[in-house]
Amino acid sequence: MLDAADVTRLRATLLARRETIADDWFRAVAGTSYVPLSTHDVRLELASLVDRVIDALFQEPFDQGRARAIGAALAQLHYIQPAALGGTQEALGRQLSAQLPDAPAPFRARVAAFLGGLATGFSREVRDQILAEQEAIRGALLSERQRAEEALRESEARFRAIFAGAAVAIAVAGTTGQLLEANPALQRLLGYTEEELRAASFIQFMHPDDIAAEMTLFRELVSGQRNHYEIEERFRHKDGHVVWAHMTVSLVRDAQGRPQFAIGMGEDITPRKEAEATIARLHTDLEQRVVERTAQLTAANRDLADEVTRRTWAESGLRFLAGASETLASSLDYQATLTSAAYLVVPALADWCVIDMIGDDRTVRYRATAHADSAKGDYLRRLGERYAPDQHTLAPILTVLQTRQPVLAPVVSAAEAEAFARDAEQFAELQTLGIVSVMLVPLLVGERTIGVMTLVSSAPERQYSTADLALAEDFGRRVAVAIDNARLYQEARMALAARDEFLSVAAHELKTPITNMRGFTELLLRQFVREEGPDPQRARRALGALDRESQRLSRLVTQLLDVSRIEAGQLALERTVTNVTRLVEEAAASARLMTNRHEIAVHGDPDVVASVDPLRLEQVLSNLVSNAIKYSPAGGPIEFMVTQPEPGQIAIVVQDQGIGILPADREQIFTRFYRADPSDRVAGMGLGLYISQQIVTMHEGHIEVSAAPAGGTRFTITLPTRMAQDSEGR
Amino acid sequence: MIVTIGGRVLVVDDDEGIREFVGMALADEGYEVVLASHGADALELAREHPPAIILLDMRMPIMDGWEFARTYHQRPGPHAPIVVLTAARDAAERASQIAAEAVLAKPFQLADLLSVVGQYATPQ
Repeated sequence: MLDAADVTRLRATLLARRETIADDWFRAVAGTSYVPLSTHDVRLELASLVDRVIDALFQEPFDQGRARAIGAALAQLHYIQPAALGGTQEALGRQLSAQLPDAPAPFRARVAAFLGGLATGFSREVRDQILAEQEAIRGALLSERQRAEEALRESEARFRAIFAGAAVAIAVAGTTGQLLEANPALQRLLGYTEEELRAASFIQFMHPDDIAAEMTLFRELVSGQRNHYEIEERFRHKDGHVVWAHMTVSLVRDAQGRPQFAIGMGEDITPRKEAEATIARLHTDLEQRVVERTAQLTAANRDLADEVTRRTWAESGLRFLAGASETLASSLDYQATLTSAAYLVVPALADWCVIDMIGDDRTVRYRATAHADSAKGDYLRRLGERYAPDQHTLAPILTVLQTRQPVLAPVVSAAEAEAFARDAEQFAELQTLGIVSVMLVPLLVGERTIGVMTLVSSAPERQYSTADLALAEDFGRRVAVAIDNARLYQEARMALAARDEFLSVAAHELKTPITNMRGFTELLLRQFVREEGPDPQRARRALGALDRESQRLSRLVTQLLDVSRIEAGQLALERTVTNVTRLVEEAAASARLMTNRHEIAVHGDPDVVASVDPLRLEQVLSNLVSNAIKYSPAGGPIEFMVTQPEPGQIAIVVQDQGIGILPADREQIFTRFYRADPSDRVAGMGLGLYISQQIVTMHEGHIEVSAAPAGGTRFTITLPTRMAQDSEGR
Repeated sequence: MIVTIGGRVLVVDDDEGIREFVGMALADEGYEVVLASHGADALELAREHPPAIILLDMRMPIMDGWEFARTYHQRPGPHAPIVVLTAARDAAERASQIAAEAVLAKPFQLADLLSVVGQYATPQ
C-alpha cells in the first residue's frame, strides 16, 4: 500500500515532469519507423499517453488492464518489428525510474507491474494487428506500382503514336548531340532514313553558317543552364537543297535532376523563308531602283547646277573681257598697256601674273608683273629685277613661244616648282609668292608670238580648268592686240618724231646753201645797181660761191633721194671691174680741194681691183672723207689705206685725228638721222653714214667704226672682190 | 641803252659761204668786219678787237653759240649786242636763251641784215 503522502509527492513530481517524459518517449518513437501520423499528432498522442500512465500508476487498486491498454496505444505509434517495440518499452521503464529516484519500494513494485502490463499490451494484442496492417500496406503499395507501370506503358504508347504520326519533325538527342530517335516527319524533312539519322550527330545535317549559334544554345541546354530554346535554322536535305526549320528544343532530366537528353521539335518553315527572301529581294530591288532614280535625279541636278555655274562663269568671263578690252584700249602707251594687262587679271583670273615680251633673239625685252597682294607685288618686281631671266627659267615660256600652244598645269607639285626654280633660294621665293595652279598663254598677233602671259593661282581652292584656260586665251588675244597696237603706235610715233626731226634738219641744211645763194645773188645785184658797176673779182667770187652752194644743194637733194630709194628698195648697183686704189686716190684729190687745213694721204697696195659700182663706192669714200674733215675741225692728217688682206677681199680704211666718236655712239652712227653730237649742233643731216652702210651692204661688204690709234676716228670697209664670180658670170 | 662803240662787226659762223658774203656786204657798207668760224675763235677776236655788234650762228663745232654767249657775258667790261643768225624754226626761243638783241632767220635778205647792223654800229 502506498501512503497518501508519498502518492501526492510522487504524483506531483511526475506531473511536473510529464513534458520531459513525453519528449523522451517521442525520441524513442521517432527513432523507429514509419508513423502514419504527423509529428504534431505523435506529440499530442504521447502527451496524452503520459497523462494516462500517471493516472494508471496512482489509481487504487492498480489495474493491470489499463497498463495493457496504454501499451497497446503506444504500440500503435510503431509500425515496425517487435524488437523495436521491446526497446521502446525498455526506454519507457528507464524513464519512469529515472524520474522517481527516491520512490518507496511499494511504488517501485507498482511501476514494475505497470511496465509488465505495458509490455503485454505491446506484444500480444497489438503485434498481430500491426503486422496485419503492415501486410495491408505492402499489398496496397504493390498494386500502386502496378498501376503506375501500366500508366507508363499507356503514356509510352501515346508518345509513340504522337511521335510517329506528328506533322512536326521530332528528334531525341543525347547530351553529346547524337540522335537517339528521329520521327518520320524528321526523316522526310531531311531525306534520310531513321538508321542513317541515328548513326549521326544532328550537327552534320546542319547548314554550316548556323552551326555556331546552335551549338552555343545546345551546350547551355545540356549543361542545365536552360530548360529549352527556340531557333530558326537551316539544314541540308540529302539531295542538297536547304531546308529551314523553326526548332523548339527542351531538356529532359533524370530523377536526380541531371540532364538526360534533349527533345527537339522542328517545323518546316522553308516556304515562309522563301517568301521572306522573295520579299527581301523585291524590297532590295525597290531600294536599288530608288537609289538609281535618286542618283539620276542627283546627276541631273548637278548637271543643272554645273550649267548654271558655267553660264554664270561665262557671263562673268564676258563681263571681265569686256571690261578688260575697255581698259586695254584706254592707253596706247606700250608699257602702260602691259602693266594694266597684268593688273587686269589679278585677282579675277590669277593671284599673280607675269607678262614677258620676247624679242626675235628669244630674250625678254620687257616684263610686266602684278600680284593681288600689293606687298607681294613689290616682292615679285624686286625678284624680277634681281634675277635676269635665263634660259633655264625661261624654258617653259620659250616652249609656249615655239609651239604657240597654251600650257595648263591644274596642280603644280612642290617637286615641279623646285625643278622650275634655278636654285633653292629661288624655290623658296616662289613658295613665298605661292604656286598652286599655272596657265601659260601665248600672245599671238597673226603669225607672230610676241610674248607669253603666265597666270598663277596661289589659292588651293582655285585650280585652273580648261574653262579658265579658254578665258585666259581669249584675254591673251585681246592683250596681244592691245600690246601690238601700242607697239605700232609707239613705232609710228617714233617714226613721226624721226621724220619731224629729219625734216627740221633737212630744212636747216637746205637753208644754209639757199641763204648763201641769196646772199651772193643780192650782193651781185647791189653791185650792178651801183654807178661803177660790179668789180670783176668780186663778181667772180660771188658766182663761184653760187656754183659751190648749188652743188651743195644738189648733193643734199641727192642724199634725200638716195634714202628714199634705199627705203623703197630701188637703189641698184651697176658693178664693173674697178681699180679701187685709183678710185680712192681720186676721192682724196677731190677732198684736198675742199680743205687746206688737212693733209690727205693714200697708202697701201697699188692697183687693188674689185667688181663694184664705182659711182656708189666713190659716194661712200667722199662721205667718209667729208666726215673726217668735218669732225677734225682743227685740221691734221687724214689717211686712206687700200689693202687686200686675203684673196677675194679688199679693205679700205679712212682715219682722221679729229674729235673721235664715243664708244657708246659707235653702234648707232649708221642709223638714219643719227648724229654723234646729241646737242645737234654740228651741221649735217646724219644721212651720209646710213647711205654709206647701205651701199657697202649691197656690195655684200661690211663697214665698221673704231677709235684711230692716234686719236680720232677710223672707218674700215671690207668688200668681196667678186672677180671670180664676175669672170664666171661673163 | 645801246652803246655803239664804233663800226666793227664780229661775224661768227661755221659756214664759209655765209662768212664770205656777209663779210663782203658789210665791208661794202663801210664796216670793219672780223670773221670767226666758231665760238672759241670769236671769244679771242672779241677780246682783241672789241666789236660794236656780234652776228652769231648757233650751231658750230668746237664752241657753239650758246657757249660763246655765256662765256662772253661772264667777262667784265662792256658787252656788244648779239644778233642771232639761225635756220632753226625756234629762232626766237634760242635768241631769248642767250639774251640776244635780235634774230635774223636764214635765209635772210641783205637789206634786213644791214638794217639790223645799222641800229647798233656806225660805218666808219
